[in-house]
Amino acid sequence: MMPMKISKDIRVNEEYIRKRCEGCADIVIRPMMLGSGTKVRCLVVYIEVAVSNMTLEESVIGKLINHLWEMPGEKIAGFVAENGLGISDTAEFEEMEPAFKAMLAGNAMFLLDGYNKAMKIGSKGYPNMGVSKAESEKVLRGSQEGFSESVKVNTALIRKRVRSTDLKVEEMMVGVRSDTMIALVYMKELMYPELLQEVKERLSQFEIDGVLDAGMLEQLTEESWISPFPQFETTERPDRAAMEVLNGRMVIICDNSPMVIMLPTTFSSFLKVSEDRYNRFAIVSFQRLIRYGAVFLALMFSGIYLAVINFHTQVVPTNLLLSFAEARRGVPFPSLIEIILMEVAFELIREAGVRMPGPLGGTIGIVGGLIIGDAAVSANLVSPMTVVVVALSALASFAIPNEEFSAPIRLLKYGFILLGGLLGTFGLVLGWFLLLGHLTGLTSFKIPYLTPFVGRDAVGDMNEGDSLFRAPLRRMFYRPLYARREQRIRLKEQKNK
Amino acid sequence: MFADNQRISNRQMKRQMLISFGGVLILLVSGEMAGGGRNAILGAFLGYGALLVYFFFLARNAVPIQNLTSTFGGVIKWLVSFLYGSFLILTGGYLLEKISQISNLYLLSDVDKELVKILILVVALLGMGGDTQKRGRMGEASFFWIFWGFVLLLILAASHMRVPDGSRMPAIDGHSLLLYGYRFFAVGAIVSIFPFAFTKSEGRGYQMRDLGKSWLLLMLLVVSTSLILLGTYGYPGVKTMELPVLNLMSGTSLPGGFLDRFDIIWMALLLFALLFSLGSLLFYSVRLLLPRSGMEKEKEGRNARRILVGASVLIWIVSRLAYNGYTIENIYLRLLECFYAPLFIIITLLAGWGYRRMHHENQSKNKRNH
Repeated sequence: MMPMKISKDIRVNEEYIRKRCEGCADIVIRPMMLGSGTKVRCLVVYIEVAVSNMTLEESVIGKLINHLWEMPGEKIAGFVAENGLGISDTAEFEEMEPAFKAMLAGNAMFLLDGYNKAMKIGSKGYPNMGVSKAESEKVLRGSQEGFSESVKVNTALIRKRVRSTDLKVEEMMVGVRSDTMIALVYMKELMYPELLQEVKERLSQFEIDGVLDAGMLEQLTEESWISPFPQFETTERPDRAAMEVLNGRMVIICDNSPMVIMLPTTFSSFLKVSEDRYNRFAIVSFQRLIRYGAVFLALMFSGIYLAVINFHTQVVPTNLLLSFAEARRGVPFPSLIEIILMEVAFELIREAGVRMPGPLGGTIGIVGGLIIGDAAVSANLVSPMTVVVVALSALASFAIPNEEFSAPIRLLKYGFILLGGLLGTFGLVLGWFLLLGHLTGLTSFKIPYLTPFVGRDAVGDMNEGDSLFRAPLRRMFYRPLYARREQRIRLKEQKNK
Repeated sequence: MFADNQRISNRQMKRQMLISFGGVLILLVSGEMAGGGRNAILGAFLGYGALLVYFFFLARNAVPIQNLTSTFGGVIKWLVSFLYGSFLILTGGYLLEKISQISNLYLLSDVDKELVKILILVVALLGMGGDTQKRGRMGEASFFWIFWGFVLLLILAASHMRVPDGSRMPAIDGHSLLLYGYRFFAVGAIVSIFPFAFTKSEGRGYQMRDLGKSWLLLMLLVVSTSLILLGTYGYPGVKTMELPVLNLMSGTSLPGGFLDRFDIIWMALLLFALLFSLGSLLFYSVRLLLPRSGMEKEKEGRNARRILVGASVLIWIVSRLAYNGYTIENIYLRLLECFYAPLFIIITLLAGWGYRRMHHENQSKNKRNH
C-alpha cells in the first residue's frame, strides 16, 4: 500500500480507509455528523472488540462524542486543533500508515472533515487475561501475581515493584505484519549500555512477518541456534523480573505473551527460583544442592545404571548385583532397550498429561505411572529396577525449576543412555567431555554460560554469593557479574545507625 | 561485560595446565619415577629447578618465539612450524595410543582399538576445538573434580601404605640423579609450545610465576604418587608393573564399603584428563598454524576446523605407525629426551638472542639516521 497523507477532505480519507479495510469485518468504520448547528462529518475507525464500549457514558470516546455533539459545527476543528480533543491518551498523525498502526494496536482512529490530521484515541485495547496467578512457577512464599498478556500491564507490574525513574522502558515494534509491541526494561545505571546496543542490533538483524510470543524472539536473537540449551531465561513472575532488573539484567516483554525473557542468562540462573531470596540461606543452599543433584541425576542416572550393569559389574556389591540379576530374570529385552522403552513411555505420559485438560492431566500421570508401570513389571516386559531408575530420573527432571532448562536435560539423557549402554563409563566420559566442551563454548550476550563457575577472576573479590550455595542475605553485598562494575554493590551496612 | 578477545585469566591458564599435565604425569611419569627409586624422586626436584630456569627464558623470549611463525616468512616459518607441529603430532600419537590401550584394557575390552582411537580423537576435537577462551573455561570448570579427585585417590591410597623401604632401592648416585632430573625436565619442556598461545592470556608478567607454581604442584603430585606407590607395593613390586597407578586405583576403597570397587571413578577422571591433554595438543596445532591477525572470524573458524581435522588424522596415522617393531609408544620418550627437549632449549635461546640483536641493530640504525 502506498503511503498516503491525510486529506482535509474526509471523503478522500474515507474512500482510502474503506478500500484498505475491505474484507475486515472486525474493523468498524463509523461515519458521524457532529455539531449542534452546522453538522460536520467525522469518522471513527476501530476494532470492534477492542473499542466495544465507546458508546457507554463512562468511556473517554463516548464522553468526547457527546461533547462534540453539543458544540457548534464550525468550532469543532478549532477545538480539536487547540485542545487535542482534551484527553490525555491521544496522538495526532499526518499520514495514514501510523494512524492505522495505532488503530490496529487497539485504539480508535478519529478523523474530522476540514482537518488534515488523524487522531488516536486511547481505549481499553484488545481483550487479555488480565493479571492472574503464576501457574508454572509456583512458590510457597512471596507474591502470587503473574504476568498478563499485555505489554503495558506487564511493564506496570515491574514498575509497581521498582518505583524509580532509572527503570527505563523502551518500546519497539517487531514483525512486519504482526507489528507486535515489545518493551525492553532495564535499570539504566546498573546495566551495561553495550548490552542494550547488542540487543537492539540483534533485533534489527531479522525481518520476520510475525512475532507471536517471546519464544520466537528468543530463537531469532540467541547466539548459538544449534544448542539445545536455552540462552534466555523466562519467567511469568513480576517479582522475579523486578529482581533481575535490579541485578543489572534486561527484561524483554513481548505483547500477547505472559512470559517475559531475561538476559544475559547463565546455567546457574536456571536453578534459582524467586523465593530463594525470601527464605533463609541454609534452607535455600540445601535446596540448591538438591536441584544441582537433580540435574546430574536427570542427565546421567539411567546412563550410569546401564554402564554399571552392562560393563562394570565389579563396582556393585555382590548382594546388590544378585538382586539386579534376580529382578531381570524373564525380561526378554536387553537392559538398554528396556530403559529406552520406559523412558519413551514416561515421555508419552508426560506429554499426554501436559496436553490434557486440568483434572485429566493428573489422572493420566497416575494411570501411566502406577498402572502401566506395574502392569509392565507383572508382564515381565521390564524389570522393577528399570522402573525405579526411570522413575528416579523422571522425578529428578521435575525437580529442575525451569521447564525450558529441564527439556534439554531430558533430551541429552538419551545420548547418555546410548553412550552408557553401548560404551560404558568410557562412553559416559566421552559424552561428559563433549557436553562440558559445548557448555564452556556457550555464551549469552558475551557472558559465559557457566558463570560463576568459570570466569571467577572477572568477579574478583565481588562474589555475589549466590551460585551453588546462597550466602546469608546480609552478606550478599554484590550484584552478579551482569551489573556494571562500578555499580556492583547491592547492600551496604549502615554502621552509624 | 566479558570481552570476546580470545584472552584468558591466569587462573584459567594455571588450571588448564594442571589438568593437561596432571593426568599424563600421574599415569605415565609417577610409575616410572617410583621405578627409579630415590634417585628419580630427588631427580624430580633437580629437574624442577632446571625447569624454573627454562621458564624464565621462555617467558623472556615468548614474543620472539611467536614471531618465528607470525613475523618471519618462508623457510624459518615453515621450519619452525614443522618442528613444533611434528612434536604436537608425535605427542598426540603417543597419547592416543596410551589412552586407547588403557580404555581397551580397563573400560572397553570388546570394542576394536582403532574404533576406540577414532572415538577419542573425534571427541577431543569436537569437545576442545581451537578457541582459547573455551579451553580456559573448560580447564577452570573441570579442575575441581579432576584435581581433587586425584588428591582424594592419593589420600585414600595413603591410608593403606607403609613407609617406603629405602634399603631395597638403588643407592643414590650422581649419574642417575642427573639422568632422572633431565627426564623430568624433558617432560616439562613440553611447555615450550606455550608461547604460541601466549598473547592470548592476561597479565604476562605473572604468567611465568604461575607456570612455576603449577609445575610445583604437578611435581608434588607426581612425587607423592610415586612415594605412595613405593609404600604400597614396595620397590620390587613397582618394578614389575607397567602402569602401577592403575593398580593403585583398583586397590583403594571408600569408607563404609558402599561400592565394592570404585576404581572406575578414578579411571573416568583419568580418561577425562587425558582427553583434555589430547584436545590441548589439537588446540595448540591451531594456535601454531593459524595466522594471528587480519582474518575474518568466519574464515578463521573454517581454517581452524581444517587444521583440527588435519592434525587429528595425522595423530591417528602416527599412533598406527609401526616399522621393524618400532612404534610411537616405544620411541616417543627417547625422541622427547634426545631431540625435542634440547631443540626447544636451543630455539628458545636463539630466538631471544636473534630478536635482541635485531632490536639493537634497528636502534643503532635509527640513531644514525637521526
